[in-house]
Amino acid sequence: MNTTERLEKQELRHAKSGLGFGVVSGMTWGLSGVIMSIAFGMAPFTEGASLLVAPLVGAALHDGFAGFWVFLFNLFNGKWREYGRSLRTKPGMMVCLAAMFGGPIGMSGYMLGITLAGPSYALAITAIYPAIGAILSVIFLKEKIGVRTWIGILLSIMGVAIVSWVPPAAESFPYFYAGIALAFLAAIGWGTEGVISGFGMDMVDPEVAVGIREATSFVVYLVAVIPLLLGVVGYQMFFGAFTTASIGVIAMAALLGGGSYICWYTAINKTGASRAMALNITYALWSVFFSWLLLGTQITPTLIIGGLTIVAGAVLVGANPKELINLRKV
Amino acid sequence: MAVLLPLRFRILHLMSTKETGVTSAEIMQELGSDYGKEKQFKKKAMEGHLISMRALGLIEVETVNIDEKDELITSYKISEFGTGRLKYLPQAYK
Repeated sequence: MNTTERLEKQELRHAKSGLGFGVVSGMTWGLSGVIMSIAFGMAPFTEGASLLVAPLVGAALHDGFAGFWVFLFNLFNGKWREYGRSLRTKPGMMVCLAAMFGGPIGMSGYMLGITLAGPSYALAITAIYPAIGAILSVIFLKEKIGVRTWIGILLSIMGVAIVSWVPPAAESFPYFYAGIALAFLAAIGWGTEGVISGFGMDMVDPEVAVGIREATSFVVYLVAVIPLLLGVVGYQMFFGAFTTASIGVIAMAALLGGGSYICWYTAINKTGASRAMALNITYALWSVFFSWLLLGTQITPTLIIGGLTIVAGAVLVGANPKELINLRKV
Repeated sequence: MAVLLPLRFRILHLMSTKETGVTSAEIMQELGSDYGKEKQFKKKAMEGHLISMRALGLIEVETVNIDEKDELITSYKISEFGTGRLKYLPQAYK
């Protein structure tokens, strides 16, 4: 084997590990979501003054804890000084901007979508985010996406739709269309986050970028989203949570959520935003699996068909790693 | 240069000051005085940064050789695309 072949092999190994990070990001996000749903069934989240309070406060606490865990991680791996350095540069500020799209817009839209329209519809709609992200990454990151990758992205999205498409539940959702609109907003938020953070991570370490992202999102929730949308009741629930057992559950969900974000941002950096996003939405499948494992949710034929469709899509996205050596048309 | 750049940004900046390519060992040596005490400053991590930056088109491979320990020694230089990203450097580094 000559040197060029060895270099190519080294680069391929790097790119393939990125695909692995993409899948793990989906797995951990799915598990984190299931654990969050357990927390939402506990006090004080069951006593919300309105439908909006629990999802938004839960999202704030999730991102706050995730930011804390990721900071501990960066403290341990010697990257904590990079926070301040990165924030003094434009690419670092881009990561903060990505955080606005991912947290207060993406995560809020997702949580509210679940509350107002039900998890099945919200999940199916937010899962289109890789398509939005892929279009944006072609425009802004000059990413190369072949026909096969496009088919893979679309198959994964279809699979998520099948997995989550259960007939409407007996109890009605009076704000159903608002919930659908918010889920769309979440998809736009996450697609945009992936592309903007991908841009920032050209020069900011992915693990540091996640730390900045979670912390920024938490601060915006605390000083803008909670006071402007919820007011006093929001803070009451926020601080109230610390006196209940739910806080431990959220801290655990956030540990997985933070880990998921590290995997997702690492995947974006190693395999490109469009592929990382397509692999990330396998979370829909993982959340079904973990619901079955932890909560005893039944597995239905549509879950199996949808799950296989997602996997087929994910395989197409990563089928030819040779394409991953040069991610962009530059 | 009071405030240090994020490490990855600094690698790109270093390459922009060189006529020829640099290897990860040379980068470690040049930046050692500024970043050497930090736990993130490791050979494997440095190589990971370089491979990612290459895949993203910020830098290019100039030469690739094998040393006496049969390890791959790759030398990288900044690409035109990477040079474009230098516009985001803080004033003190321009």
